Amino acid sequence: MLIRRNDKDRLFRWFTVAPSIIILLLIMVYPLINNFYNSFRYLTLINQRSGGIFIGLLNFLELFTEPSFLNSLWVTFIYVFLTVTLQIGIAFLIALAVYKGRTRLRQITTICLLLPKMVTPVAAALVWRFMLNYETGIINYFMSLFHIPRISFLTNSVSAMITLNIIGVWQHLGFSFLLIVTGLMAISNEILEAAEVDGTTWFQKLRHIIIPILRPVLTVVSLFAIINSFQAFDTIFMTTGGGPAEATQVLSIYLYRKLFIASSFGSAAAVSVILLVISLFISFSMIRVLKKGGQLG
Amino acid sequence: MNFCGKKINVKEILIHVIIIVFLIPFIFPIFWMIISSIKPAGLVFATPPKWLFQPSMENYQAALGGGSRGWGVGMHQYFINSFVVAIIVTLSNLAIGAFAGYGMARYRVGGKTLPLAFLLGKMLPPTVLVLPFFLIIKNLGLSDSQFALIIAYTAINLPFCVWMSWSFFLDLPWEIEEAAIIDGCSKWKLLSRIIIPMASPCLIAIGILVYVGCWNEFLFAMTLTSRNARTLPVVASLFITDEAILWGPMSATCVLIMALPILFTLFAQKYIISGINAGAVKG
Repeated sequence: MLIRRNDKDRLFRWFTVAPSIIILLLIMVYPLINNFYNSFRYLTLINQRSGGIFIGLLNFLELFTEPSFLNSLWVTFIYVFLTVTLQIGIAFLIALAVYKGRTRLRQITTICLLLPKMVTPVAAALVWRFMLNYETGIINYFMSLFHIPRISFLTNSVSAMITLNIIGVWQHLGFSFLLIVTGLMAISNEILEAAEVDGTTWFQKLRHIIIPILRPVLTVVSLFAIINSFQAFDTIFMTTGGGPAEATQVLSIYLYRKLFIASSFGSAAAVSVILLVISLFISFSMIRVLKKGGQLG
Repeated sequence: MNFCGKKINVKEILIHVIIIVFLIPFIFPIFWMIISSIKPAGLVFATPPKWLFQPSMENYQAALGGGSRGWGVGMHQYFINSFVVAIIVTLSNLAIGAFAGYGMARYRVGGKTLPLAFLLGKMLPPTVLVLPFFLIIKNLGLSDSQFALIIAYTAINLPFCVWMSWSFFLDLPWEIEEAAIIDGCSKWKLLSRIIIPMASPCLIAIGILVYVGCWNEFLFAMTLTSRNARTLPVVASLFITDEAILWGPMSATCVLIMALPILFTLFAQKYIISGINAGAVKG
């Protein structure tokens, strides 16, 4: 009797996770395996139904000798690096400014910074494009009030990248801010007060107390920010579309072009595999950090 | 410094002013879109911009009449598509995911590895799945169906639901459930009477994030649909044509799409904030 009850119990336990596991095996793991398989094949719109031809590592070799792909790797790196550094820096400064002040101010700040994160990215990108317009955009109008000459933001390779960074920061700042503020508020007041009694300056306090305590939080926030920017597609696609030329063609845009403009599916599968490897690398470093901080049980 | 008998900290006021000035650019784009959407067509492009004008609904009429521009089905259908896909994904993923999260937290099913596997799934960039999904959906003849979108969004959101609810259930006190089990409460009753009510704040938080995520999603919506199953973000992108960009109707459409996430942020921020924090601090 007891054994049967235990069996039933064990069955129930596995029954709780079974639906999720089966669904994800079908719609996540299987597509990834399928994609891995396709990355070794010559597969285009025409021979797609017959499954393509096996060509070994040729897709990968071709990619790594293609200037356009190497460029998009580099562009992705620049985009992620600039967006994340700016984002963390600004979020940290705002968080430092508001975490001890009035609750009301903190709430207003949180809402203002969260709105861009929640709002539909495509719509947000379109507004930015509208505001950045050379002739009629409001940003150029504001600049003309200060006698700054008009800038054609999205058609110059440097300004296009910087503009995309700013949009990315605008979009994701709320996320970093929220996590950093939560981390700051968890620092016990006693430590800070003790430091004040000892007569430390504000900067010393920041350098020797706040930053060391906050380091794990900052690491996690940075990794999340890296993942977020690494995935960026909507805002870039709707503003520059990867241009001018290929100056803002990050990997996701490159993949999209390979897929829908060149219709070379085998090659696009290889790009997906590379994307997967990079993101797994980021994910595993994240897990390592979390494990070290004891946040993974 | 004293002012009207009240002590005022000049430094504090200065910080407030600086922060508020700094925050203006963050809400300005949203504000500007709403303003532009109610401008009469002739004034949308006026430079210098007109700040005072007679509000007009022209742009909204043009946006909602989009069906007549040869887009196939009417605008109302796109709203229905977005709503139906998002709600089905939210409810089903929440139910399936929370169930798994509960099993992993309470019975340690799968030990430490299974939660990690879901975490990896949660962090997978959706871009990686675009090509395989595109090919599989096409070969199954499911292109341009809401079903295809539901499947794709489940792949993105289910690991998130599992992981979030797992980390939440880990923190719930076990004692209440134990007491109920000793009193002879059945597993299913336990779930409906005790666990779900206790977990509801967390489930609402996850649900809102998933719903808004589906509502906003663009990449899969664009690649897997073409006409009938189109969702709102794709419709917004269609205002950019080769000949011209229809800014007026476009901003009206964008306001209509953004309304829902904005309302959620303003009125359910408590849940959103707790959801974001739980998802990140715990991993």
